Amino acid sequence: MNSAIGKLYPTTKFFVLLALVIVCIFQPGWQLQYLMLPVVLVISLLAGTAKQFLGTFFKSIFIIILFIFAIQVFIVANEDAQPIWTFIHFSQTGLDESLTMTSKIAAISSLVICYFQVTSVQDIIFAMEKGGLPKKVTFVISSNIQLIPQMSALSKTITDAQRSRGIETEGSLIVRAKAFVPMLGPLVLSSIQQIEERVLALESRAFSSKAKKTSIYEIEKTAADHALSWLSLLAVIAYIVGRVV
Amino acid sequence: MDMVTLNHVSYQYPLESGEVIRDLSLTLEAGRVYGLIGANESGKTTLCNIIRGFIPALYKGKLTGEVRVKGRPVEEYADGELATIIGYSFQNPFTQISGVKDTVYEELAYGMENIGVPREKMVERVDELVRIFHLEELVRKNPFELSGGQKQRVALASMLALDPELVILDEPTSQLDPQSTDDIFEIIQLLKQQGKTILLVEHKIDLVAAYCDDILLLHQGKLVMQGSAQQVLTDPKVLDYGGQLPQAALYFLARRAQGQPADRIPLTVQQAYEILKK
Amino acid sequence: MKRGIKYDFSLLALLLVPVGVSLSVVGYQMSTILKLPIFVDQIGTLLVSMIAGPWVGMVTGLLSNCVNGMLNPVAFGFAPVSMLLGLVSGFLSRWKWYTNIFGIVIGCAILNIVSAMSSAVVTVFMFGGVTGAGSDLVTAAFLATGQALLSSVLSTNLLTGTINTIVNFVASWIIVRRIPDRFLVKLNYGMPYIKKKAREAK
Repeated sequence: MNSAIGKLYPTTKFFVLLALVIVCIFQPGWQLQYLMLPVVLVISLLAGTAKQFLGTFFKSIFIIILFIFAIQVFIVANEDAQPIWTFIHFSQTGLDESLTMTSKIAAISSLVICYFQVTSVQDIIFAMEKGGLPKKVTFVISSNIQLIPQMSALSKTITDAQRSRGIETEGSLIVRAKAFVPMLGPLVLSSIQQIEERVLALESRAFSSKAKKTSIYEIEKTAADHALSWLSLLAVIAYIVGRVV
Repeated sequence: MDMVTLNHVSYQYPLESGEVIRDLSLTLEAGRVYGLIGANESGKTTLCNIIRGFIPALYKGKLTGEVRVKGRPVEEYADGELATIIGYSFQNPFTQISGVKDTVYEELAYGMENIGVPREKMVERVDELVRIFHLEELVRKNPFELSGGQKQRVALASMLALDPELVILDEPTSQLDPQSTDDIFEIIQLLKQQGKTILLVEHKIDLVAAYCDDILLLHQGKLVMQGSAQQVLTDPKVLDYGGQLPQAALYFLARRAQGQPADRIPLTVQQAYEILKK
Repeated sequence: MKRGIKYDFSLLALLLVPVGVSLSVVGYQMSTILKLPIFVDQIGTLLVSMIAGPWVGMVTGLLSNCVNGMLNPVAFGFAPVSMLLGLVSGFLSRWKWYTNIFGIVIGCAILNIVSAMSSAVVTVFMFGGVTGAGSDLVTAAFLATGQALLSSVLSTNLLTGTINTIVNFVASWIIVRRIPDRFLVKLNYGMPYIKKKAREAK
């Protein structure tokens, strides 16, 4: 987050993201969309998040792209399907379809992944507050974000416990379910009961005050932010005009 | 000046039969430290919630009688306004962090952010709080990662960031170790010096005896005894109502029961020592 | 008691959202890591929708998928499914369907159809018929019998979804039944689940 890209104002980055997503959605074909992958990779490299980006990309998007190709090209019974082996056949329509679809999925999700990796949540929340979103909205978002590390830790604890008992590999569904419920149930109930006190604690910190909220954390827009925002807007307008004419 | 006045207040929780607070009247004077004691379920926390206006606003149920804060009926205060007059801290350290902040530094400012304090003033005030509460080592940490005692200290500090005139502390040390308990009482001492009005609910009766000016004793929702600490905490009647007496007082009361001379019943071990030295 | 978008988002309800989201996210992560044949990723959304109503339920569904989406961006695409589930379940709770066994059975059937149809739409139009999960094999089997893509995916969803819906619903229902009355009484939608008969106190 300490790179030049990381330090940009979150809305600036959002405008750039939006502009690129719009182009990816409306541009026919698949070449430009797949071209977006190296672009995103370069941005990630510049921001120092390339490793994270590739990790997320290959763990999720890449797999789904492979699946889409497999299903669309070899399994869905299109009219031009040429049989290969029993229910497996090759379809050119399926291939074209997959290319269009996967290129959009790959481009848009890479852009979104990249955006969240180069923008700190704190910055996003600050921009939202500054932008006049109601306090309750930003509160719900940030209270969820703060809990993410705890959620992952909890999942890990539970799965480790399950694994150590060998439940994962050999246990039947009922055995697994039985181990799952007693671990989560009490935890949920105690969190629910803690909510009552948390309401009081937050009210004691003037949560319901009608005053306009201020923030001790602050980021500022620079000249680069203004320039990039305008550039994105102009790019989108130019693209639309170009498409229509 | 009267900070809080209650006039014939009774309260019944929703879905429950029977009143938890019964025809209770009291006055809290500004600048004094009150110890609120009584057995479990005697209505201590309920009383705190009534004074703070959380009852009936959040709890619903049936409240009768009159509750005034600084002479004004508590229900007339606007949302969030009472937070700047009454600070309230709770037993459980884990429920008191806002859960929306990355660092203790920001956590301390949260209340001020909510009432719209300008940034420069917040920075100034937070720095001051960090100094007073010795939080230098914690400011950069994530509030979720603090220990119970540290959380409680941060919770107290962020509550005091709003500079309330009355501070309600509901068993602030019940889940803490002895060292953290001492830290909290050091803060209470500091607040006392600053002239805050304090309402302290606490089971550690020796600490109550050492720090409180006045004692309020609740029994089954009724205010059964009130007066100076010296008066109440040396009276064996407290025991009949399910309350406790300080060690020193118990010892001298026992001596007196055995016929030994004991004109003055001490409250603290220190006082007992002084008497015995003579 | 007043209900609706304006009144449903009390501070209490807002704090319920992260609990619901955590529950759903942990369920999702465990389903993925332990390769459970069922997806227990809607418990939180259903739980919150039952006691805090359709709108808060919808927000819980949205945020659950957004959090999951940070780990696996595919989940972003399925956000409308969770949102719809929270919304529908919240209305069923508001109409007191969940207070008797008959309503629960019909309610579960409705939830199942809603989620099967909405996720079929997302699966087909956004991801070309695949989800990246084990159920893709079932879809492939349907396709192999010569069915069209949309109907194959829908069949898969209805088939695997029924057990999912029942498990998710039962788990959240059990939790709701264990929430103390004094907490339920403070929620706009908690009344139907209060065990005591002292309701005239309201």
